[in-house]
Amino acid sequence: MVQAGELDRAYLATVESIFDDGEPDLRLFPMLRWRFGAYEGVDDALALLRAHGLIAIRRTGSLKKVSRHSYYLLETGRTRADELLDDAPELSWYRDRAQLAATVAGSTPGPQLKVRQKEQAEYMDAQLGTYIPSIVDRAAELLRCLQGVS
Amino acid sequence: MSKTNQSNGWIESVASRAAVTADEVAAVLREWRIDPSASYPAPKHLHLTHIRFSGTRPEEVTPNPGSFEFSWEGLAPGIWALASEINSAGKTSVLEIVMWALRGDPKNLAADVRKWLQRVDVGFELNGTAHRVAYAVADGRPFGELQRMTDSGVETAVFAFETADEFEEQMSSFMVGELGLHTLRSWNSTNEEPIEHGWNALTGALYITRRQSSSLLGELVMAGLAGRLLQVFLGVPWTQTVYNARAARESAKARSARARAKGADPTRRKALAEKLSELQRERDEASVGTGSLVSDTAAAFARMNAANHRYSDAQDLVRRRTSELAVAKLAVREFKQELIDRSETALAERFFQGLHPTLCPRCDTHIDEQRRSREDTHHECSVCRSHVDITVAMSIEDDEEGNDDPLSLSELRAQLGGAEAAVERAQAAVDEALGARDVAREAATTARAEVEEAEAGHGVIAKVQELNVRIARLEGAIGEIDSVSESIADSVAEADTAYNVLSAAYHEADARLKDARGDLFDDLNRLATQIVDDHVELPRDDHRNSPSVSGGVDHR
Repeated sequence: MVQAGELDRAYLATVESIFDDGEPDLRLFPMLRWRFGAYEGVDDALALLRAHGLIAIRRTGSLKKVSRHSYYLLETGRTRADELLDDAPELSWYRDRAQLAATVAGSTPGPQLKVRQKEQAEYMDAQLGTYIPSIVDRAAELLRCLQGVS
Repeated sequence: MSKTNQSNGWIESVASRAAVTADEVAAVLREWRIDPSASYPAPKHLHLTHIRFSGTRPEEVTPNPGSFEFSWEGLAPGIWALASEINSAGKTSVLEIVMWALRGDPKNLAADVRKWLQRVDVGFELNGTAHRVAYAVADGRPFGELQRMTDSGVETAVFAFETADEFEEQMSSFMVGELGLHTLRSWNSTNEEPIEHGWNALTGALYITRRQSSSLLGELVMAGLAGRLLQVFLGVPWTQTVYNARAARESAKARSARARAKGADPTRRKALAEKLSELQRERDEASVGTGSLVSDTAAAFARMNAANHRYSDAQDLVRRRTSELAVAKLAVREFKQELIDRSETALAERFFQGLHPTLCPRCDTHIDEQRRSREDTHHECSVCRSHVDITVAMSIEDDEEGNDDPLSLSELRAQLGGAEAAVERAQAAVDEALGARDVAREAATTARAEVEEAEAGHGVIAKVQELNVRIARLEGAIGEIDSVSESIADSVAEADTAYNVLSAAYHEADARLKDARGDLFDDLNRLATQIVDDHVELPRDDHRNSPSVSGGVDHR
């Protein structure tokens, strides 16, 4: 997005810090390539959040055929999240990366986000049921290229 | 004429003249085929008996084209004349045809007459025996045979011929043998080679042509040939020996000169020796300082090879250390990952264990306080009513129980510290290996430069080697000259001895010839005066000159 001019070049420093901290290795959460794209089972995590009244889940459609899931962070959840960050600052990484992901996604609808994902060859060429390969080498090369241009 | 010449004492006389042994004289005379011709030969007789020939003149020949035929029978010893009222009637042709038949060589027969002829038949009596040479002529080429009449009157073939060369060769051999003649040898000083005069040359004494010539005998005016021919036909003893010895002497003289010419050319040898000295000086100057060049180059090569090996080993060490560093970094990463995972999990567990569920995540049923209190009193999960024993850890460091991993977080951190220290050590090892590699590379580069510098000196060695090759060649050439000189010297000595003996043989034979000839030429001179009108003078003592003709009278 920096290359396309959609984000400020200052974000290159963020990318560089991600590489410097070893996040591509230490914070790797591989996801499976499944029928509709990247997949991870989040039902248990959501149930945990729901059971403690931190989020609300709304389903559109019927029990037999759910057309859409919507997840809402409740006021209680936001409060508990702030408390957690105060108690364990080391968990702020998740907040920061969630904010960064939201920045990258912007107001782009989900289907279009999927299209952007499928533009990555590693994503599209991954076999069903296998973990999607990392794009860290290409990202590092692109960072070096953009930094050289700057 | 004296008739007392004999061959006794011939070898000894020659040996005495040459101041050599009789064996040496005999060997030389045998090698050069010089035989004593001391005896008077028996007289031989040859005269014509008939002359016949025929042919056809082409139409374009005038006058008298068409066939012709000539026949002259009944010839016998005596003087005969062939005359005509007009010139160019063919008188000369008749005689030339006769000579062709006797000699086997048409020689001076006009080419057109030769082509007209179709048949020739000449009869002659040789030492009382009738002979006949008859042949057909086709386009100038003779093919026929020589026949001899036996005592019983039967003609038998002596030899046949089908070409001009066969005719001449066989006729020459026959006549020389039947007349007891020998070939005469003379020396051609122009070509420096001996010439043998056989029957063809001897027939010059049979036929005196009308061509203007200062010589009455022989076809050529050369070196007293006619006089020699006269003596041959007269059977003067020692004639053949004199002329053969003379020709052999000249041949030996030429052989000696050639041998000397082949001999060591002092000028050439001197030039080669000077060139050799020059090259040796040049080689010695170039060789200065090259004594250790080869060994120095070999040592430089050895150092370069060792430096290359060390550089290669240093590169291998860098690769190993780099690989070890990567392994150490991987271990650090794994420890960090586990540490993050376990600490965050512990934080999350502590967080959620501190919360109370408020509703069922499946059906959204509210969980009241009563159900919630049973967790503390009855250890019953407020969500699913399963037995539960929740202990809220005060800190993640206290989370020891229920943890299947044998390592605690503190222990894990200690492990991580150790792994990070290992990375530092591995990095230091890599840096050290890189430094050593750079040093080894520099050393290999320096060693290579030393080798190149040493190899540059090999140009001098190559030059010295080239000079040695040239020196060896010159030494070989000089050695060959010296070797040849020895054999040449032997050849010269041998030729000189032959010349000495042959010269002595010539002088001895000549003395005997003169003694045998006596007043022969005086007798001939008187005889000639009686026959011809003009005065014919024969030199009394110089047998080299031909009888001369004063006046312009034809003699046939």
